[in-house]
Amino acid sequence: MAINVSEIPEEVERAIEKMPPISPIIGKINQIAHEIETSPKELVKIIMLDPVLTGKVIKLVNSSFYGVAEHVQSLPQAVILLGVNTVKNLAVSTALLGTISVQKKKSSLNLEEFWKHCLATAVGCKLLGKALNVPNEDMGSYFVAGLLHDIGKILFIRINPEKYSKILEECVQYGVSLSFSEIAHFGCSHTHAGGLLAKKWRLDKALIDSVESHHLSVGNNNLTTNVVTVVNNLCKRFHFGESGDPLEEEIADDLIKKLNISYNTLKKISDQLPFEINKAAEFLNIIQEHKI
Amino acid sequence: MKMKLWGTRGSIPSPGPSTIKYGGNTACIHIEGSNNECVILDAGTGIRALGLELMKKYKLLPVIHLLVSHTHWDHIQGFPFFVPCYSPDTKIDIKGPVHFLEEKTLQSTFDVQMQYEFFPVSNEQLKADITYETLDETEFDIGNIHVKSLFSNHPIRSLVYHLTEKGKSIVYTGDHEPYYNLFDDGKESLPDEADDIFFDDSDITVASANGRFINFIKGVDLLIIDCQYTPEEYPSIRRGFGHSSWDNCLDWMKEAGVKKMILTHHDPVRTDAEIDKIFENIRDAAVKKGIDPDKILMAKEGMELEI
Repeated sequence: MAINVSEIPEEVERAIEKMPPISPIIGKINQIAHEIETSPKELVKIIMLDPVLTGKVIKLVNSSFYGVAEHVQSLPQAVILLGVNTVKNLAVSTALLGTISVQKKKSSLNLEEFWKHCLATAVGCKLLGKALNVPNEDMGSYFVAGLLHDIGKILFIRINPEKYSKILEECVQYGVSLSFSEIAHFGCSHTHAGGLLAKKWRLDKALIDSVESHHLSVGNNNLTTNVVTVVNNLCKRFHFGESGDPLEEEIADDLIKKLNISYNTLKKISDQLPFEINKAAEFLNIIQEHKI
Repeated sequence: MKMKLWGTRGSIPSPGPSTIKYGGNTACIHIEGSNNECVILDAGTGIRALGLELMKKYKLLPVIHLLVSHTHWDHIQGFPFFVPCYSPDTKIDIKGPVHFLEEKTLQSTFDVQMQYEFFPVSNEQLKADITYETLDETEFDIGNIHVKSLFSNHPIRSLVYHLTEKGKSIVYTGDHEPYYNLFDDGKESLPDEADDIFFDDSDITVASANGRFINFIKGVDLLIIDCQYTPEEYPSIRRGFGHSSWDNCLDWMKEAGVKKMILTHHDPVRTDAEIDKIFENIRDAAVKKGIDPDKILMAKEGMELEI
């Protein structure tokens, strides 16, 4: 059967609107739901640990400010413009919706490990951005780019967790790439579906590109995407969390040369990542045995 | 445009002998255009007396355009007592923002305050032809009056309205507080505190949002502005409540070149004597800032102006 990857299957489109967050933040969100006063910094730090919530809040701010689309790029901006309580209520209601769907649906992708992969990529992008002298004010969007890069996978799990489990098993069994198997079963890859979701959320162009193009080993002319590509491969190589893709991608040598990154820099980042992830896990009160 | 204030109090009505001069009804302003356009800004308890006045004045009421700044009680609670709602020949067009809650609309929010537990007549039993429209930042015309809206800084979604007719303009802020840096807790962040770099551009966001507000009120002939607090109360005690203090209002007036300003949304605890005293302080501060104090008025129920 010929598959036209430019067309998006209806079930993917339908699922885009109803995205739950991934589970680890739920405990913390429930805790803040019962507080009358929440520290703005703590709220931002909690939400920043979840790709869906982060995307939804940024979408909300951009959709409300008529005529200034693609203006807001970070959660602190969102909290200043919408207020702590609005952002908190949004996070709480989205998280509660997620609780129901996570209990109902089962996938062989370990969601907690997957969350760790997203978080590790986010932190890694921030660290690599810093090493590449990205201005501080842009660092938030590098973190968000890393956090959201695999958002298309969450979308697929949301649509049909059993089917996504089958895809993951097929990849292992036949040694095919994840994208190949996703296209065969869903009619599009997670990068394509994720890109559509990012567009629907009216995220910044650089963010959309990093969701769509983070598997281009030669890179492109978007620095955010290139940083996500390098860090994503690094996290997969060193098993910081679990991306779901059984094929281990090579660290993109040419891209690393092009960006003028030393291997020493990558080594420093990979040394720092377990500490950063554990710090986030502690913040969310995730129990000890789940730590990497 | 002719303007009359029907409700000047914030938060909750505060009737009694100590509020006779400035009034105890909550937010409501009537604007009449040169072509008889009937615009009402907010439906606080002041709208009850305005409704009776309109019924007396007109045999056949003009279309009533109710622009709601937001749906907190003090801005909608008079609506069930607005007599034109019960008149079958009346058309009422209600516009305003709703807060970010899924499946909520402006109409469903109005419906709630008229549920049977709260009020004996339900919204759908009202005889007037009432339409609802949820607004964001936008522009539209009511007859010859051009209306623009801008989001304000308030705990729920809230709009500032800008009305222009024949080159003259009125802005009504509804409830508004200056945008501020919520992340500035006064602590120096450590050089390696990776988390804190996210908050570095917060001052830029704040300056840009406040700049949009100043731009919106630039050069207006009349600014009717939320001024619930004094500088002693704000920002030290009341920050984050979504209201401004009079020193904010003076600074905005000067920066935006506002021609005349009415300070409204008086705190419900304020007596007439206290408001008189506050007004004296405001006039003194205005002189020091190089603002003509006669261009500043304290909102009083029944106050009328034509611009």
